[in-house]
Amino acid sequence: MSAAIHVRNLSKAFGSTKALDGLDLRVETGQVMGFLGPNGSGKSTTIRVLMGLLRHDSGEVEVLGQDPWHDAVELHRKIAYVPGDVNLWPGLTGGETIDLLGRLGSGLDPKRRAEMIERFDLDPTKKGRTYSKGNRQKVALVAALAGDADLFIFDEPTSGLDPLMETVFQNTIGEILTDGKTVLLSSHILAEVESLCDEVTIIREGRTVEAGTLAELRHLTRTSVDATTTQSIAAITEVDGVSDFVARSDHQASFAVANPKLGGVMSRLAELGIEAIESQPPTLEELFMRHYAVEGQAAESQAAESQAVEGPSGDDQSGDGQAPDGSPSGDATADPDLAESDR
Amino acid sequence: MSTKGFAGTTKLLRLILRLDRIKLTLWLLGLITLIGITPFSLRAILDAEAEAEGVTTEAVLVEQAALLETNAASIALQGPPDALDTFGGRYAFEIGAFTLAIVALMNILLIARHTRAEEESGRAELVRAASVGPWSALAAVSVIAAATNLILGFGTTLVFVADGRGFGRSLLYGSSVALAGLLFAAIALIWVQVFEYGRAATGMSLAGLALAFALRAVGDVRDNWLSLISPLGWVQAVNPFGEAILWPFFVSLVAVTGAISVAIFLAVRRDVGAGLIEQRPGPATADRFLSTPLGFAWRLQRSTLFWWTVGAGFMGAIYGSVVSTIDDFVEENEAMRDMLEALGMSGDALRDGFINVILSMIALIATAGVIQSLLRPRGEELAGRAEPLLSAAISRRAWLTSHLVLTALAAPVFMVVAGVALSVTDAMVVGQFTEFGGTMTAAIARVPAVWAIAGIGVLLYGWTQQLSLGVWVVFAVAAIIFLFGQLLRLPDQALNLSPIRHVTHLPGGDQSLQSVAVLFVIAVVTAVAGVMLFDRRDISTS
Repeated sequence: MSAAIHVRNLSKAFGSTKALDGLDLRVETGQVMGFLGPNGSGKSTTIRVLMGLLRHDSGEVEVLGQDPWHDAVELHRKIAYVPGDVNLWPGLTGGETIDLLGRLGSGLDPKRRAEMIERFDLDPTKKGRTYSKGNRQKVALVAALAGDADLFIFDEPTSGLDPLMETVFQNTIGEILTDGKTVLLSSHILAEVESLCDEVTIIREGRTVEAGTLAELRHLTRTSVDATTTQSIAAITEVDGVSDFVARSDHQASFAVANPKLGGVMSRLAELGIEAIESQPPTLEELFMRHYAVEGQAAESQAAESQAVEGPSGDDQSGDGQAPDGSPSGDATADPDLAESDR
Repeated sequence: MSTKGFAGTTKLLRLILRLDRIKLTLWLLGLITLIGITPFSLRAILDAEAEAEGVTTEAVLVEQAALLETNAASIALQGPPDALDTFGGRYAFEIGAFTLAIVALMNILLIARHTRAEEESGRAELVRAASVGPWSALAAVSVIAAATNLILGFGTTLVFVADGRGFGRSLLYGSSVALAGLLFAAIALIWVQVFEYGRAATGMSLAGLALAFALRAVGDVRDNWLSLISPLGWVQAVNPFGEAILWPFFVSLVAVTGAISVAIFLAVRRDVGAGLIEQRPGPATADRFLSTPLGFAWRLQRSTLFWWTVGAGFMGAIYGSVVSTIDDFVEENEAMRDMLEALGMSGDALRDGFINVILSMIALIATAGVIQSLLRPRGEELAGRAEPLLSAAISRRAWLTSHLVLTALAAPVFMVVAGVALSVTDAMVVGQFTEFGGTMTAAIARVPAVWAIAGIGVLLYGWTQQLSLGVWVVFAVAAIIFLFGQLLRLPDQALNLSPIRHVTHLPGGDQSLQSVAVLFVIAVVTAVAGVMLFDRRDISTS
């Protein structure tokens, strides 16, 4: 497979501010790549470099095998882009804007245009100034999806959409994928990323900190376990890979297990006599937290979270700057079923 | 009305002061300097002439007063020729209606900036969500405008007192300057309630200013009632160094109070962010022309360009209607005929001189419209609306050039319309066309000068978006040199820096094609360089 987007060691500074600092990103043709990172980490800057709106300082950038700066016009016929902040012309109607952007961009199929307007439930006769944030986003989405692009670049496309429209968006992306299109999706909506993306790239402070399939990334983190055993459960702490042990009673406890050590921990648990067990794979939220938080914050937020959820806890609190371990009862976890089905 | 309606007014006052601390200071310093430099340099000119002729300065003043009273071009630009044989009266005349118009402009921009533009951006919503009353924003900006005009009026008074004018008359003049500002602040307050967009409100207020200026120009030249229906005419009717008339103050204060009441009446009856003009649904599809870069640029710019064209025609017509007074005057005035004969000139020379000054002034004002068109891409870029188009298959060059084509065409359109309007109204008054070709040539000859200023703007914009507002500085310098250059006794090299000045010898003069050609080359080179630079820079993001 050839790469639709190939970015290596990309750097871009605005004056003395380094926005991108050696970023890598590779999106294969036909793939949906999730592009994640905290606010201000450089996602939009990267995307604007990919669109030839910003000129990069150093590094390699190729989009569909071409240089996005020099071959911008030619490339843009094959790319559909929905910016994070959709700004419409106040005096133009939504329909006019869709036609304008489509015809000047990656094309406009009248049938598909009508279908998308219907699907996203958009009134194309309203003037740009009267649309709400969500409706502005729908205008940009319809314009992007009504064409015949090979590569779709979405910068937080659904941040203003209602859940119904978000589902419509996800279904539509599912359809275009069957046509062999490539998608780069920057989003903070984790359920969306989990259900759509084959792989994710996580960046922080202008640098790629993690890239791979969700399964691979999960492997790097921990599973939460809540178990009741016939023998005293405290013995489990002796097993390598167990952390954040919180005893509820002599026989019941919750703890986290580093995924590569899961086998060893499970067999030890079996020896202790399992009465009940609940385990949860790490959610994307946990992955996120782990990569987003800078060192100091991580320890803090971990302490804060375990206190909030479990109350002051035992000595096993590792506080090593690892991600906060979302407990099974955690209030911030995404739907575990979604996470499971994606594996 | 309880005081609750004004809750938070003082906080908003402080906010405006914080936001505008540099802008307002510069405006005030600039205006007071402009006003203050007039007595200073005019006195020096008069003294020098008195010395050369071996008479007293007062004698020179009286001698020039007689000439100015019959100079229609000066009167049209500057105001009624009242008390010109006094120093104060002459200063006030030289400072003129044009300076009052700049004072009005400052007020219009101030009001629009802190009312409608804030609502448009959504920032007003944040403010109104706080503990702020419905009238607070209006009250705060009104107080600031009033204070700004008072400071300006006081500064003007001090300048005149420092020159040795009596305190009472100086104060009267200073007050009249402040009054001009207040009147247009009040007019702007109404328009910002009516229109949903700051730009439209500013445009309507400026149109009102142009109308007021034109009415008083015709009224002053023909010495009739037209001046009395113009707010600028009221202000100039005060005649502080002559009869010292007070009724304009009462009329103006009634007008200001009335306008503020109307503004409040409108403001409390509409929603935050809404205008009084309703939005209608539009077409669900775009026609083919709109989907081309040029068609799209036209769609964005057409209404602005249309109104500027109307404005140019209107100014041409207004001035055209008074051209014939010069012929009448020469005919009636034997001494004038003798003087012209002695100088080897005909009455036509005076007429040409008048048209000359008028066309240069129209060119200057039209330049503002051309600059507005030229800065449209910048506005689009900053509003984040360049991004979606430049992410489509349209090159930067095509996007920018399609706007610039309109900008470039605007200049000749404005000038031709103004020239035709001038000639036609003159012909209507006189009964036949006089020198139509000459007037049109003179009008068109000014186009490259306008282009040259615009070209510098393109260059700045192409280089970096932040610098592009510098084109207004270029414009201001050109305007000051044109309007006040001789008064300020600037050296020729400095005078020549103003493109508008280079073509002031038409019609009837021996205007060399050379300077027109040079200006044209400057315009083309700077514009091309600007477009090329734009190809290479980052697009600003919101």
